[in-house]
Amino acid sequence: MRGYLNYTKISMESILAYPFNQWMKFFSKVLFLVMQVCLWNALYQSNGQISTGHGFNETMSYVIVVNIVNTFMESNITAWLNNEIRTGDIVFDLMRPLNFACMTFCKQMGETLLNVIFQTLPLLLISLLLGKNIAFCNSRLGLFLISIALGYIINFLYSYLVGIMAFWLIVTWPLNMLLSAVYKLLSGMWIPVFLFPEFLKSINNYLPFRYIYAVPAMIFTQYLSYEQIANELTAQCLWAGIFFVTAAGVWYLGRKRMVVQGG
Amino acid sequence: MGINVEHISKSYHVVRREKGLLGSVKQFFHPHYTIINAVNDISFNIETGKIVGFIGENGAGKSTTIKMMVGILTPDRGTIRINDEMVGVNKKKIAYQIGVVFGQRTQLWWDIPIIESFRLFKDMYRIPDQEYKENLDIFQEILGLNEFMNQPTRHLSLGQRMRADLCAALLHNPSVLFLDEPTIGIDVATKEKMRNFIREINRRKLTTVLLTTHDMKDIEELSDELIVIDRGGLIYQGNLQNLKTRYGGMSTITLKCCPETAGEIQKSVSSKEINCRYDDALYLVFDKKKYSAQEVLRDMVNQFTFSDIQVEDSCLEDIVKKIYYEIDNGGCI
Repeated sequence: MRGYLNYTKISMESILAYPFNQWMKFFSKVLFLVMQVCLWNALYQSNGQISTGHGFNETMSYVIVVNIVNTFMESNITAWLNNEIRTGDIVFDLMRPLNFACMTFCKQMGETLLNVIFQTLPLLLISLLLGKNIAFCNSRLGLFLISIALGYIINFLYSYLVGIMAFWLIVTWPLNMLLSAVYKLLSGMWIPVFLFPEFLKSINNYLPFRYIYAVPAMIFTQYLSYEQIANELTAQCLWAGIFFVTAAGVWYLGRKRMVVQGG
Repeated sequence: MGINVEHISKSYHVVRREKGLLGSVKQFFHPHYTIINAVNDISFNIETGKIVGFIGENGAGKSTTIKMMVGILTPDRGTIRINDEMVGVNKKKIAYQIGVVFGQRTQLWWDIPIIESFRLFKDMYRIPDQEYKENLDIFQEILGLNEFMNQPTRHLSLGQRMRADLCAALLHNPSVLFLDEPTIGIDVATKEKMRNFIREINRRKLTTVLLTTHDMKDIEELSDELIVIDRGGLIYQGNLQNLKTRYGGMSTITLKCCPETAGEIQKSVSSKEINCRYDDALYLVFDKKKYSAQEVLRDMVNQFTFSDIQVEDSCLEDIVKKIYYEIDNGGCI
């Protein structure tokens, strides 16, 4: 266990070796939040009668929650895995007496912890000041946190899966670019999923992306019925399970066909 | 015990590159694969506590073999056992048994002080405090790591990094150490330090070492045995001395003297099977099985004066060159 925890620690230390990056990341998050708030403000003011059935407050609280969640949800694990496989440096991690996927997870945890401290918390404070009139479903905080945790796991397994596609593709950033565009749109990170046109909504219900951002955010910002919440949480567990099995299978096949790059 | 490799083979699918842009486009839509047999039915055994040199030309299959032995690549056929434990079955058990250094990569974390990387290995391999401290003390002393222990890897020179990597590979007292070109790009003094270290560890802990290198001096100074492979096949395994007698067995005596003396000497040895040559000094080349250096020199030393005398065996490098040459020309050992 301590071996794994050390991965978390080392990953934090490696990130902290470049403190300037942390500041830049923080400012970009603040900027993005402010931009989003201004954008939705303008949209609702210019057209007061949007017939979405969702009010200004609901949308605004959703946008704020998603932006805060975004500060710790995203990771560079896909790019890291790609690089390890492409350069062949993965050899050392493969020889360790530890499980590779768990090691990767612990590494990401290190990044996440730092993000929580240096980005989530400050951004949370700013949002509380900015949106002091906006109401959240505080009674659903516990369920929200459970949903966030499940979303985090889905997101990790998804990133891991895309990363290890490098066993076949070697260079995967074009795939990443395509997938991340789909991801950003469908997860509800940019646009609230409840504002999607009907056909997109119905497709999205069968895809995993909305379970990463939109579902936790909706649990916290819309008074969903407990039955609805139970359904969403079950779906999240299901998706986590599907990704887990797929990632394990892809890993097994990938390892068999692995060619160590470079020397 | 030790390492047993039995009939392993490994082939790769490689996309056949076609010439020119048109070829590249064709290949994009309809790639052709060729199969390359990187390793072809290799078997050998290495006893515990031996230092074995593993040599072959670039692309002979050395790295592929090592990567199969440490369990990173899966052989298409054949089995590998390390201390009677099958590689590829229980990854954890193997992991504790082996230490690896790849000269072209580092296993140290790039951005953090190397001592932190060492601490990570301590926890990862569950090295007891006492053992860790002892090992680190010994390693630091022989390799001289103190000066840069607290620097991140990215600040280290190549020589410093390799020493640190060597240390990292041995912290958990592996019984088998794989060294894949550890001395590549390293200066002479550091090489010497590393060789001493490997010798010491082998002596103290009976660590089995498999060493690939292109520097024959590494092999000559460290190895008891030699494995030569070429184009994926095993060409020679055995004692270093045997190879030398089989392929070399020649000695050279270099005498610094004036031309008159050289002329006298050339006359005096003309009855023996000794090859004489004089340019800046007098070189006497002879078969060690027929004469000893002492025999050749005995009378000369009493008769003449020399400003310098050197006796050398024909070096491994000459022998290996000879082997590679013969292979390339279709010969076999």
